[in-house]
Amino acid sequence: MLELVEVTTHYGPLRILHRVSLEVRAGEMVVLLGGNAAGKSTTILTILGAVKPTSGSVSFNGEAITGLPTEQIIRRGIALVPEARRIFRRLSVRENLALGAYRRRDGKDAIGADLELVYSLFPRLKERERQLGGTLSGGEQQMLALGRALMARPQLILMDEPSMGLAPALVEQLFELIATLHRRGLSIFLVEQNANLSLSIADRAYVLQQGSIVLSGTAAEVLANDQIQRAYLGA
Amino acid sequence: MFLQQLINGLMLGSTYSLLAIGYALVSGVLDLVHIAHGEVFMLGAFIGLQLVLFAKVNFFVAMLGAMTATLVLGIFIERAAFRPLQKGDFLSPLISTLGVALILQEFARNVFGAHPVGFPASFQIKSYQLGFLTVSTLHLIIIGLAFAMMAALHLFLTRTTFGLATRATAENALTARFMGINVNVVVVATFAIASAMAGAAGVLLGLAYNAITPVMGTQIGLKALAIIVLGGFGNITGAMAGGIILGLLEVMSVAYVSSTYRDAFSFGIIMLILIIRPTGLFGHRVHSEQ
Repeated sequence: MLELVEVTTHYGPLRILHRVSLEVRAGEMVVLLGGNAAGKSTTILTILGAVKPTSGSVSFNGEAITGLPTEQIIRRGIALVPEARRIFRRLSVRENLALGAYRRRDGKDAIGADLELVYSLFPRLKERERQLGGTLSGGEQQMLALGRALMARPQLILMDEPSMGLAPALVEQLFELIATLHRRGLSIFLVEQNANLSLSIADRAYVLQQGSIVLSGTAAEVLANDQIQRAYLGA
Repeated sequence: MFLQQLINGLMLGSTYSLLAIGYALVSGVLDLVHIAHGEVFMLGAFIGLQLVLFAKVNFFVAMLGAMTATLVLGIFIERAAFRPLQKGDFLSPLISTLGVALILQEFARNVFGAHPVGFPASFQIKSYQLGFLTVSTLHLIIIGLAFAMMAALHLFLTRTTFGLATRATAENALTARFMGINVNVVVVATFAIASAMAGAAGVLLGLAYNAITPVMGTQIGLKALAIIVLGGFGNITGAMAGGIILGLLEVMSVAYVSSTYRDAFSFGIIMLILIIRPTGLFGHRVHSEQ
């Protein structure tokens, strides 16, 4: 479904990603693990065309999307739960959700049905539908960011460190929800520092270190790896 | 007569508002100040006047013609003075639009002359006496049209999907892209709408004061800039309120203070308001990104 082949990205003279190759198959949940500044967010921005790779290619459903404008990549069926949530603080909860469905052309009824679906998943959002995004708590903003991505009815969701800045209890709730969405058939590409939780719900994993993929395999294999145990799980 | 001044102030203020809300829209979407917005307004006034004088059309047709011309001009300014500079320093567009402002001003001076000109007196202005109030057709036309256009913009921004996309882009262009919004299209549309409204404001103010000059864009443009800061940078409601406030302040200061201190008085009040509320009347507190 999503494939990166030998992607190298620079910010000015600085090399951020070095020949990164990875793949997300339909229905899969893949996690990309890495510490701070390993290049996780850059990987997401490169997939979405917000950063142009110096070399290598990105394809979605077999078609090259390398170098396309962001909005065209989004229109092909990819949605993003951005780093730090990036909800629209000056727009209402309902307007934020409506923007998630912006690229859709399948009619008001289908979008309305999905709005009800998101509200049933997050009743809190329905209670606050007229409130401005900026007045929500951190946890509620994360729900809104996730709900907004679901409103796109995407084939693939990219999530950039959704656990960041959330209390541990909320993180567990969030990961349970992500696992549920995955079981319902959604393809997910999750970028995380929280190795333990994300490996417990993912199918496969890649480990990114200083811009290079240093390890990949099934979630169980990666979890069992000594290096990972030492580097991420403190074992 | 206080009520009479209130109506006069409302007439002046509604044209300021019309100019300022377009300005606020462009500034909000681009996070930049478009210096030539006042010159677009000035050209709107001249084009409306030319249409009345030489094409002999009626006032409403002239205003529509002026709006169409400034709409095209706005799209052209976006292409020439903003789009190519997107990746440059944030001050570059300030200078490029200053360049556009000077070009338009000198163009107007050479083509239309530097002397103030006005709409012919053939516009029959009827006055109605309501008790001690004098309300003229001029008041009604200007206030009515200005508020109708502002209401239309409000409906566009709050009731249409593209209006929602415009507000999202104003808040954060990158996140808007992540929603699948084509930000370039939003920017062009914003320029087109704001410039058409500036053209309309130029014709209305030209009609109200009958003194159209090539430098009026600079004078009024500066006021519009003050208005959008007073209202809270990029805030549409704030720009509308700010325009009305400035119009009222100017008329009241002429009536009750001194006509030679009009701008000093009204800008003094704006300074006072900003000292009390530095983010403007409707400003949202600045929050750091991420």
